[in-house]
Amino acid sequence: MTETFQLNRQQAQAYDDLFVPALFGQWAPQLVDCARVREGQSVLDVACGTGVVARAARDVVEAGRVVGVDLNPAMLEVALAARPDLEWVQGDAEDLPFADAEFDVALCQSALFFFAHPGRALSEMARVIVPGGVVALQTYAPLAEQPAYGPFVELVARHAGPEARDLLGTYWSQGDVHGLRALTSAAGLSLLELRSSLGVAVFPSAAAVADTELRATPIAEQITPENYSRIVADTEDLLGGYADESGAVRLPMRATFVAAFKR
Amino acid sequence: MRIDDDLLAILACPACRAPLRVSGGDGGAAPELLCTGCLRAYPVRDDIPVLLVDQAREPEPPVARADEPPGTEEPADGG
Repeated sequence: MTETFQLNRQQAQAYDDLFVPALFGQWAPQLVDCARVREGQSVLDVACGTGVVARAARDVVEAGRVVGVDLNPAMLEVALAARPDLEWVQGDAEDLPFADAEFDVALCQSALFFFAHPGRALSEMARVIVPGGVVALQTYAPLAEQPAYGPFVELVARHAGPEARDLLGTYWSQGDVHGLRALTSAAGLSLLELRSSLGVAVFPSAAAVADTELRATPIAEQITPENYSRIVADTEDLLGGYADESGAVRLPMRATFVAAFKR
Repeated sequence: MRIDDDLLAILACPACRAPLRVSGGDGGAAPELLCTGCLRAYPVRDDIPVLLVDQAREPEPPVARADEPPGTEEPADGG
């Protein structure tokens, strides 16, 4: 079973309203492009959340079928309310509830690092596509290749201890190109394309970056209020240069894409 | 409940991969997607099929016949 954080409907709506435009939306058309999705194809969006990739795929396939599958019912409620014209199913990426070879393309954006067994999820995606079909994944490059998040995580580790690297490390844990190639090969897929793309994550302020990241992990509860304030102040020094005139910070964020096909 | 036949055709049981069929929904019982292989029943909530093994209703065990004392019935798996 895939590990997940459960959200209520309100949190899922906030995710769709705030995080999709600020973080995730930008990668969806790139993932669809990387997978060479064409008009008329059937596409599965694995761990679809509120369906940003499914919506981007629909723009290309037009009359083709688009199905989103996710573990979280609140995310799917928001997805269905926004796009009742697409199909939504609650299911686990590691035990996809679909028959073999029913899709031309399986896409998975910003989710591989949440799966307990990414290799099993890859094998499932390979199973449900037709021979000649494509699996395409989007993850984030490792912290060493992240110009803003790399130094930020080191800053937090200096104040909160080295275990902060693990607690803040989830998002960056599946971005190594060799690891992704090994995963797709083990699933019996052949490499089509590897792509590295620099995008941007938008936050209202540098302090909001620290606050958002610390509160997304147990770190916020483990450190003293004084330590928390020091991290926020140091983050403002570190990332303040990315602020625009309005004070919003636009952090460079490097994504990794891999597309592979089934022989 | 709206489960499109086209969607039903591509769904499979996450436990055994057998096809599913719609069960109930026209009487008082809540509609479910019933696995034609392992007989697990999956709920449909807010028009979304919930195809998770840990949320499936397990098949009911075969009921022992009243005219037979316990322990004398044939093996249920039929070999």
